[in-house]
Amino acid sequence: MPGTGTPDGPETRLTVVADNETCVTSNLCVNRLPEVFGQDEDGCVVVLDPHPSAELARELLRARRSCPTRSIRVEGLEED
Amino acid sequence: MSSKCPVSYPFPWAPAPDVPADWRSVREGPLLDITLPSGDPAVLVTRYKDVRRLYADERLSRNWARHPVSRISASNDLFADPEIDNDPPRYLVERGIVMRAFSHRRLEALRPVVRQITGDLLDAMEADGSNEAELMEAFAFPLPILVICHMLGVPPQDRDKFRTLIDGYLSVSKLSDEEVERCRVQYWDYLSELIAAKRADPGDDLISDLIKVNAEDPDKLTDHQLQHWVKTLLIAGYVTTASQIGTGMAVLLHRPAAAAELKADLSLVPSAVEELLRYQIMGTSLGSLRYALEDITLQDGTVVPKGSTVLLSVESNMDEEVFTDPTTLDIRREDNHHLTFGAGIHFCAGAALARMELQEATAGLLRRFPSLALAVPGEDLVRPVGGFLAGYAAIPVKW
Repeated sequence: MPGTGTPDGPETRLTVVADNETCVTSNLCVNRLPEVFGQDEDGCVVVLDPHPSAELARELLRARRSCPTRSIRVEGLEED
Repeated sequence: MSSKCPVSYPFPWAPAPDVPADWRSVREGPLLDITLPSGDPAVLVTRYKDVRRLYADERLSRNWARHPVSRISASNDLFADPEIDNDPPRYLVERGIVMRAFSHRRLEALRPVVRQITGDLLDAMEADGSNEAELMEAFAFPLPILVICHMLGVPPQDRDKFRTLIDGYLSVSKLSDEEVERCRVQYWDYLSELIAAKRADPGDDLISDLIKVNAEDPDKLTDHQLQHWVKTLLIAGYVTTASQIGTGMAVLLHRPAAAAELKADLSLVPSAVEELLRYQIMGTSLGSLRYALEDITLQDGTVVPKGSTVLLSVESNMDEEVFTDPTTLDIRREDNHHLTFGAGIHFCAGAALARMELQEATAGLLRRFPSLALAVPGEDLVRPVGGFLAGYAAIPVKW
């Protein structure tokens, strides 16, 4: 995948993409990582920080896994 | 299809706040033939990975009125409404309108209200002076009822009225079919009056917001759809949450070591709430009823035949392939991706609200009454009969 690598240090950045169209406003991602995920007026997901530090990898994986509609993608991390 | 004889569903509920009696269904096979209370056939998908995937599979329809779906009880079409389409794209339009009220920002604004209501109820329990209470009526029911009344703009003094009607409407085998139908009609009439009153005198609440959408663009949200959503939100707003507040506390207090661990460190409340949601859900899988539009192949190659009525098992939360030591209650469990709220586009609309209420309720109770305990042995707690949910009819507690 382009622009990514192994999360091996604080300088490594990941790429987070979220699909606003399939979001069902579970709020799970916002509650877990409010610095990365936000919501628009309708409550649908907005990525606030599309290139968060790789230190957040574990929590990003959890956010991705818990999304009820699999609307979160994290480039640069293995599928769990 | 499974080759075994169909088994009656719902399975018998466990008598005590212990491991669900039927979690072993997960091991019997990925697909069980079951018979609903109506006598109609259905299949139960049991394994976590299949259940998780099928929740998000559009080949399973939720449009109960359009397809020949098996009935839950003989003449109670609990869900079917010919004017409601629960499949995309129509469903997503309506859901999107409603979900604005459940955004993170809107719910955080509601948190002080939830906290205030919780505190008032705890005050009343304490002021009684007897150091004991029946948890369901003193706390578990009034908390979510007062919260959903506030959110929807329903007068709280209506609560005895709508509770009686909803309780009858949700009966699976408790009442006669005529009684269920009478409750259904009277509940619908109650909602018509409620919405008419709101149209005349709107407020800062969800029903008024929905009326506004309906008035601006009746094609986007028809009168009937508006009333259907109010009907659903009022039921879903308290019935399940009340049941889970009670069930969760019963399961916890039945295990003094876990209860002591949580009382000593209330920062564990969020993970404890998730574990209690996973561990002994208060419901059945009837709410997940779907219709297979095509053959659907499960992970091991078993086929869910086209035309089946399909239930997605809540006991998939006990799948040992996904959860380590699933029958042990672990209030510190990490990565607890239980399916109690479902998944996919029908993911429980009120999940975040319910979580907030469960967290406030659990922390509030344990902080106020550090010696809180069951007043009867857990094994003696009584299940309600013939309803939609398991839960407990009454939970006597002392402190």
